[in-house]
Amino acid sequence: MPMRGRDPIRRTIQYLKQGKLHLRENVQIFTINYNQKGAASKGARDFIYWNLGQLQYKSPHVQILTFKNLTPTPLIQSWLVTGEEVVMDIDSKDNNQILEAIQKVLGKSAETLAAEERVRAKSDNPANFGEGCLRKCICEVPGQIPCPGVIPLPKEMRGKYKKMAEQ
Amino acid sequence: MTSKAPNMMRLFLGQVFGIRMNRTIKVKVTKMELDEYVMKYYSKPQICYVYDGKYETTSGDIVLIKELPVPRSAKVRHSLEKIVYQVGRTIDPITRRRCTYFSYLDDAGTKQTMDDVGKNQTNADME
Repeated sequence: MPMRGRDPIRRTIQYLKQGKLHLRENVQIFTINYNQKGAASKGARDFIYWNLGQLQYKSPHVQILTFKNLTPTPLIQSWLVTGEEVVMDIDSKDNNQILEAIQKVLGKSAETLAAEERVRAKSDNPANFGEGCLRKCICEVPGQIPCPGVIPLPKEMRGKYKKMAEQ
Repeated sequence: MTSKAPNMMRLFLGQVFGIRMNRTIKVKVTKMELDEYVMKYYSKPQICYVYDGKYETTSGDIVLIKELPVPRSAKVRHSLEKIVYQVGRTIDPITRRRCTYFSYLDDAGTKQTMDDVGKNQTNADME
């Protein structure tokens, strides 16, 4: 049985996860002004139709709003956590050009995404311990040496005494 | 929402829809929520009581509101930061000119009407 509606591919989890645009953590509000008619807003309309769902899925911390028929030309307006306002003109821009422009100005860089992926992979594995993992230190595991911050290690295990013994 | 320094408080954009209170306005903040069954994003409104000490806003304004570091009262947890679009006096953020959805209001010679917008369109313009 086929899916209902226009371009129902947009309504699949797989499609939402395919979004490449992740907005930066400091972006709090993302607004797009567009018009219902006119070639200038065609790209903006396409962006909203195809990509806005993907954008919200990948950036759940951002409040995304659309304003229809408010201004003569389409634009994107964004507010950062510092209160700073970012305005982008998307007049007569293509769907893909709009995506590229947003990626350049408000998007997370590939390095940031790779670093976040590394942290996520590390913390997913329950065997790991350290920053971002389920357990901070191996001293939390029963059977291991208690935390040296709480109970000092015996002298034989401490570096300075080992060195002194060698000399 | 965690507490941070006052200049790092959470910002929201909403529409004013209630102004009949003492120095307080009701703002409707909409967020998109994914309906897991239909798999579409729908706007979910949330009402915020916002402090507006100078009575600057009117019903219908689009305003930027900021979470207060300390709530003013049981309901008022935000304050008015800025009026982004005043109702009936839209100012285009790029050109900073008053406008309606089809023209700029200071353009005396090139004023269009709603009919003109559709006249020069071709099928390619429509989605």
